[in-house]
Order: sequence, then structure tokens, then C-alpha cells
Amino acid sequence: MTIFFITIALVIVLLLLEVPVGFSFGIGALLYGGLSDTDISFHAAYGYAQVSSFSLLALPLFVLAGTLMGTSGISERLLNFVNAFVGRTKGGLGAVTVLSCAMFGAISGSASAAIAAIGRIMVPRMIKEGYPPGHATALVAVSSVLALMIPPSIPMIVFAIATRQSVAKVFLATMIPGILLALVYCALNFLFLRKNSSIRVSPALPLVEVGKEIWLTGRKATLAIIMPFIILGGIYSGIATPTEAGAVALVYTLLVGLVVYRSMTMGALFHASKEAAILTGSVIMVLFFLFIMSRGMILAQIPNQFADLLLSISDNKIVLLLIINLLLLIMGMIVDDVSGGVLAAIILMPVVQKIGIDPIHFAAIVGTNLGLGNISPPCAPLLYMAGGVTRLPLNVYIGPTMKFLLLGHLPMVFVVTFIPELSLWLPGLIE
Amino acid sequence: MTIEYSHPDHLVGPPPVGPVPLLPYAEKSLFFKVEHRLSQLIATTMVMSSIMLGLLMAGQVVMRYGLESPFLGIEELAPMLAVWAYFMGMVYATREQEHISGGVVALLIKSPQVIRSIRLLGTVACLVAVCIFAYYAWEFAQFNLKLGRKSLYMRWPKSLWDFSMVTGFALMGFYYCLQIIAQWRDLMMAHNKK
Repeated sequence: MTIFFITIALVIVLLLLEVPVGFSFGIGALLYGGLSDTDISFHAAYGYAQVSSFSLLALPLFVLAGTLMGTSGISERLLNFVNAFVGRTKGGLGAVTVLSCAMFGAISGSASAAIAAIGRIMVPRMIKEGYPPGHATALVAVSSVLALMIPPSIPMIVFAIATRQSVAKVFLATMIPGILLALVYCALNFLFLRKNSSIRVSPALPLVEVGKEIWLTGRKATLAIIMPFIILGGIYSGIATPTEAGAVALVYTLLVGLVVYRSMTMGALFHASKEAAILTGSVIMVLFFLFIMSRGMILAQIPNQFADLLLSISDNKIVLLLIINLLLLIMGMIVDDVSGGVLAAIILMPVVQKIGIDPIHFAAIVGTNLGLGNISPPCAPLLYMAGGVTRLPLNVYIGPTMKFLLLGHLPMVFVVTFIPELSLWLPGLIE
Repeated sequence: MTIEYSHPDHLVGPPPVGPVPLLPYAEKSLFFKVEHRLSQLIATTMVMSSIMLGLLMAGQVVMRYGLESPFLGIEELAPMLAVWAYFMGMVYATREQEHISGGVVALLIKSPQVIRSIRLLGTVACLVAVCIFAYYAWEFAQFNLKLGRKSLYMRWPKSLWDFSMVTGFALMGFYYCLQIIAQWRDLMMAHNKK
């Protein structure tokens, strides 16, 4: 266990010193191999076999589909549709942001794609209508996490593969918590802005006019709205595997962008595909080195020893769940969501099984916690990315972000942890 | 999912240095002209592999339900396209410095020279790791090559898959070497200015 803690400490130091996450784990694996006298060269072949597995193909396909959606005109149409429902109320644009991120998550599975597609449109629009810039930035950052929780979710695909669970069930585990969180963020947004007098609101329309607007924008966004039903319907009806659903999503996006909306040029297609391939490469590199490091640790029974260590602290399930939540939060604060998911699967799964937690319930706990960690400093990748959209200093948006997290996301973490039915009911339907 | 694991260091620290100069400057040197063509080849490989992978998998659904004749070789062909897309993606991420990374260096350290030195050391550590894993990848590919291993269904040599990893690590090593040179020059120039 001493070697394990030394390795983890080195990885954390490297991460804080700006060394890429993948190489931090790679160097950690080399150190672990050196100290424990393990031949890492065999594990390199294992890492390669894992990343070239057929089931992982869903990842590049969803990443590519999600990136292409940003250039296909789908996000604008989704925004206009949601805006027709709540856009003409005070704080309505904020609610549009939250709900659009949730809907975009249901077709792309990527939080950063949601920030890029929704944040870049909505933040300037909100600021123009008098929203406090810090509030607008914070809202985009916290809402982007919904894309991680509402299926298809890329970190959840990786988690399912690492824990050998059904991807379809793991997808559904975070769905109800994701929808609830979206509603909580909408409510908090209205609450925070209720006394703000600087916000301009478009005059309310008669009910018939609202209906017309919903019909018109809905008609334009039909192809975007039916997309989640195609993806998830394909998976849950058994017509397509998650990997094939990713491919169908990609071809559908290409058809919509190139043929129907005609908003995607060949140049934009190449550029977006390049961006997606770079992102996929970066994520796979992290996974490759993580699989290598974890293989050595699994062979040395480290996860079981870690489970025994935690169980020696307490055998109370509630106390252990609180400790697991704390560990997941710290993981989410230091590493990205995909690495956090794999680390949780490897290190925490044995203890979770020993205290009788359902692996699907654990998937929901992991998904909710890592989302919280990814917008909590010091590393807070999604928070800084949202800040990059507005180009504001951290001190402007850190306060509103913390308010959203403490009043919205943190209580949701406890709800998901201590009410397992919330995450087990939907997966139970596909037994 | 995090595309740009951006952090405040890029906003408050000294600007990061890339391994290759921007295009107008690159055109002045034969070496960087060649490198530019190489990067285009890498980009084309990863983009074409990704799109072909998507079309292949979607085609599989059509063939299964439309023609009731699934293509069995897909389980070999799809991972081959994927591994080339993955490893070329890693190489391009190294070239563009777009690897997922975090860090709080600039929040804790005020001296730009110390920040530059830490970044240089980090790149050296990455290069060492790349070289070791490139060696392991080469050993693995050579082992399969010597055995003359072929894929089960299409009977294609396994080296078509394995050399994606070898090529990927070798090119990453190349770009990390360039980055070390660029970061060292940046460090020295800042030192001389001081």
C-alpha cells in the first residue's frame, strides 16, 4: 500500500505541475513498476488491448457526432425552441441555457461540447439582456455538467467498460438525477435573479402567440428534437448497440448538417473532425496509461487492500458512503471526468461491492460527484472553459458558481447517494 | 467530457510555447515545411479514419437490418481504423499542445522564469515516458511480427494494427523533442532579456 500511496502522490504532484493527465498516469505507472519490481512492458500490451476494444468505439463516435453538432446548426434551433417556452419571463434566458445544455447533452454526451455550442451563444445573449456576467458564466459552467449525466454520456461509457456493466443501464442511472438537477438549476436561477432590476425581458405574448412561436420553432428544430429518441430508442429497443447508436448519431448529424440544414461546409466538417480526433486522442491517451497503471495495481490486490483500509475506518454504510463521496469529489477536482470515472471504477468498486451497493447505483454516485468536482477549483476544467468563453477573471464568476454548487449540486449528490431508487428505477425497467 | 482542460495558468502565467512555429514563420525553414506536410498527413489520417469508422459502423446496422447480411470483418476493421485515429489524435494533440492537463503552477508561483523551468521539466518527463513506452510498443509489435500473426477473419497482418502504437509514440517523441528545444530557447531568451 505504501508504493500505491507514493504513486498516487507523484501523480497528483505531476497533475498540479501542468504535466498532461495521461503522462502523469504513465509516469506513475513507470514509478509503480520500478518500486514494486513489476514488469510494466506486459501491461503496455494490456493497455493497448483495452483501448482497441470494440466496445470502446462508442467513445470516438459520440465525440465526433457531438463536435459536428456544434457546426450543423442544431444548437441554435434547439435554443430557439426552448426559448419559445420560457424566454419571455424574468430569468427566462437562464432557464433556456440550463434546459438547452440538458437537451444538448442528450444528443452529444459531452460537457465541453455543450459549453462550446450553448455557452458561446447564450452567455453573450444573457449579458446583452442585463444578466450579471458572473451569473451567466456560472450558469453555463454548472449546466454543462448535465451533459455528463443525461445519456448518452461519454464518461459513463468508459465507466461501464471499466466495471464491466451494461452501458445501457449505466446510461439510465444518471438520467433522473440529471433531469432533477436541471430543474433545481432553473429554480435557483429564477431565485437568484428575482430582485435584479437590470434584466430586460421581452414583453409577454398572448397564449395563442406563444403557441404559434412554439409550433414554428419546434418545426424548425424537429430533426434536433427527435435525435435523442433515435439514439436512446435504438439502444433500448435492442436495434443498435451503444457503438452503433453513436455511428447512427454521426451519420444523422452529417445528413442534417450537410443536406437538410445545409449549414455545414466541407471545410467546417474537416475542422470539426480534426478537433474531435484530437479530443479522442487525448482521452484515449489518458485511458491507455490509466489501464496500464491500474493493471499493475489490480495484480497486486491494491483495490482490495484499499477497501479493507476503508472498512477498518468504519463499517457503517453511511459513513463509508460519505467517505466515498469525499474521495470522488477530490478525484473530480484533480482529474478530468473520464479519468475520474476509471479511477473510481478501479479503486472504489471493491469497497462499494463489499458494503452492498449496486454497481449501477455507484455509477450514478460517480457521475454526479465527478460533475461536481469538474466545476470545483483548483483544476475545475469545465468552470475555466466557461470562463474562457466570457474571458472574465475567476473572481467574477467563482461566487455565483459556488452558490449554484452548494445549493444545487451538493444536495443532489446526497440525494443520489442515499436514495438509490432514484438511479435504479429506470435501469430496472430494462431487466 | 473535457475538450480543453483549460486552467488559469494559461491566463496568468507566461504564454505557453508550442513545438512548431506558426505557418508564416514555418514557411521560411525547409525543416518546418516538411513538418507542416507531415502534420497534414497526420490530420488527414485521423480525420479519414474517424469518418470511415462512423460510416462503417452505420453501414453495419443497415446491412444487418436492410440486407440481413452482417459484415463479419467489421470487428477487425473497425478497431484498426480506431487505433490509427486514436494514436494520430494523440500525436496531433502533442503538436498542438492540446493534451488534457490541469495545474496550479501560476497561481502559486509568481516568477515567470520558474514557471518556464517547471514547464520544461514537465516536457522532459513526458519525453522520457514516451521513449520508454515507444520501446515497449516496438517490442510488442516486433513480437507479433516475428510470429507472423494475422487477424482471424480477414487474415490481415496484425502489424497493421500494432504499428499505429509504434508510429504514435515515435511521432509524439519527435514533437516532444521539438517542444523541449522551443521551451529551452524561450527560457534562455527570457533570461537574456532580464
